[in-house]
Amino acid sequence: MFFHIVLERNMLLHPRHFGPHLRDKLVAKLMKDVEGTCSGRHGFVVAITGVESVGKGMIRDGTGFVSFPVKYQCVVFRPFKGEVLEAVVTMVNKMGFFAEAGPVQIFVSNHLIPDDMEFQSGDIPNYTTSDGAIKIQKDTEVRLKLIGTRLDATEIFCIGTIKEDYLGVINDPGAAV
Amino acid sequence: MSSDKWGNKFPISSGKKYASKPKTVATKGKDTSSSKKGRTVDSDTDSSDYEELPKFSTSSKSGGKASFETPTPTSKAKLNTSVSSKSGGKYSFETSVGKGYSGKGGKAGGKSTVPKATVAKFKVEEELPDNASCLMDCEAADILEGIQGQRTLLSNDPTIKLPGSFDRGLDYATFDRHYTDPQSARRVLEKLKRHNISDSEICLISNVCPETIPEVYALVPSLKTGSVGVEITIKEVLQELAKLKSFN
Repeated sequence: MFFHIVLERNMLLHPRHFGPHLRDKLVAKLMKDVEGTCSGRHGFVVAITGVESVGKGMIRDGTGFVSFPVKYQCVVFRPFKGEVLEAVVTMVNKMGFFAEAGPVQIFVSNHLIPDDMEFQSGDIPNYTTSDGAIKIQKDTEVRLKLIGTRLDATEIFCIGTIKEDYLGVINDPGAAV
Repeated sequence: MSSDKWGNKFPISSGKKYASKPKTVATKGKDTSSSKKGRTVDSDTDSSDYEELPKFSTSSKSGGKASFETPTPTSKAKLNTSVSSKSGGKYSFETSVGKGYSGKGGKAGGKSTVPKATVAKFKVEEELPDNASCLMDCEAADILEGIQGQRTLLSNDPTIKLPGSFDRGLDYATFDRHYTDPQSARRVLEKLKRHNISDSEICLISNVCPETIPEVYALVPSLKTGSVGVEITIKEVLQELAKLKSFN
């Protein structure tokens, strides 16, 4: 789920950037440093939407760097247990399948795939129902529910299920062929 | 991920083929019979790194073993997967070091082999700072598209580059955009707040875009309060949301 959130960070700026465009330099550095990062608490910082305030700079002893406390607004993406997401399958194997929802990777174990779906190996590995009506393969869009999340300093990894009501394939690219 | 993957839009209301839609009890079926496969699913664990990863262990007929364990709060998260053959194979998806819960042939430390329902409160607000506000995917898509437009204008500075997660986030948000007018959808969904339905639950309903009350209850079980008032409001909201849906 996406969130709009206000975060704070101390930005270190080299004195060569001081001048009339100091704020611009600071914002540019903030974007470079923060966007695309991931924290366990907030999830992926997708984009900075605005800078609320830039505090007074403090010179760091022994270096010329100055630390500025910057308060900024950003859009973050963080998955939660119990959340229902629509994801695209990226890899299928006999253990289950991997899917991506935005920047997050989700693994769905074969134990959490409906029992009537069997793994079929071959050029395009997939899970298929016995009547062949429903197929999960690479690029299939599935609706899944997260049952667990692992939040690292740099990565978020989730475990999902499609073995519940109203979950499963929502768009099968193979069906159109 | 390529953008065309997400660009493949579909009418959410019509094109769905839920693999497990008609079931009334999700986990009911041949798979849950422990006598046959000795499978145990248990998703009640608590950890700092893993919010709630399920522990489950499986043993196949021919003595195969599978375990899926969560770490102790102090243990470092680690994921290991190993597979051998399906019949006598060993599946392990472990996240802890040391002794874990790995059942064999349904012994599983005396625990019931019947899977527990993973019905839990969707408690997002507790885990986020006070200044965080949930966004519906369609709102996020609008914001991110605005940023993308601005950045294209400002792209004369090569040091400012949008990261990969931005593109993936934008693709996801636009793919998931069920409503053309996020403000109207938000206004309609705000009615649910009368019944103490949280922002995160409201956004979840918006993102999932359910069509019926059973679908709402299945996907957001925390709304299942049994109150008639809530149900009536949800029904009204679903009817109004149906009018706002975008079929692209």
